[in-house]
Amino acid sequence: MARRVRVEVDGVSAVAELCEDLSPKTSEAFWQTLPIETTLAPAKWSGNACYFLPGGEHLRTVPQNESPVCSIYPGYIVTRPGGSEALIAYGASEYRWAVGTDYTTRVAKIVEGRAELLKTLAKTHDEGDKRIKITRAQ
Amino acid sequence: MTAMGKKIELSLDGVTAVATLHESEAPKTAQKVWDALPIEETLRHVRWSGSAGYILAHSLRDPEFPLENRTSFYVPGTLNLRPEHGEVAISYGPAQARDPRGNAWATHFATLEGDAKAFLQAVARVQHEGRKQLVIRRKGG
Repeated sequence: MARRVRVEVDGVSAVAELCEDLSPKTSEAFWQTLPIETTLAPAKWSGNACYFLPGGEHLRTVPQNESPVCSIYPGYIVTRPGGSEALIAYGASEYRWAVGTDYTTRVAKIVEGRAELLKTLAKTHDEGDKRIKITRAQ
Repeated sequence: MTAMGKKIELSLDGVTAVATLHESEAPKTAQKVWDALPIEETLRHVRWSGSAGYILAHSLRDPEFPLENRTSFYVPGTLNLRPEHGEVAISYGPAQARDPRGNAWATHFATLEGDAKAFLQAVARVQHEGRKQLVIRRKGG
């Protein structure tokens, strides 16, 4: 069973499973980075998603994508190589920049409390930034 | 007011800016916007298009309305209409007409005048502070 993390935003809690099969190095680095407590902001190029800066040293040691994808399915957490930023999608989303579409690595997938968390993330479109806390769930 | 040189005033979060309608380059759109004023709508930050805020104005929505002064990339300080949605985007940095399907087109129908820095900063703040009310009126009208 994959390791699990707890995601908390605006008083709403959900559980996500790390994508250890798809991205073993990135998932491990993400796990080592926890706990993360930082600002969650609405994305401005990637559609229905929010982004945050994970920080720490561990993700910097993984400079390549693993099983890279462009589309970010709702409820997935993805990161950029080197951990420069992470996104969580709450609806249709594709990783994009000003110059176009790019690849990301799937790190975790929400498996419990998904619907309520996605609704909370969607509120950033109207309400702006929120705080996000991600901790080890086991 | 003469037929040329129509100006509009935009107010957001206590900051006001003036824009000139591009009546020569986008005559139909400029007239449509002028006729629809005043417009008071919620400004939100775009999700696909980069550094811009947008309103959805029902009075400007017309899927059949032609594009004029066609642009895809939004120059900072410009107002751009996507008539199929009634969406007016105001760009404060790198931005482009985009949606989930990819790149799109818009009509560049007005440009802010003079030093609009404070107004554009207010537009930029919408990303992190959330929606704000935007009012667009005829300048001197």
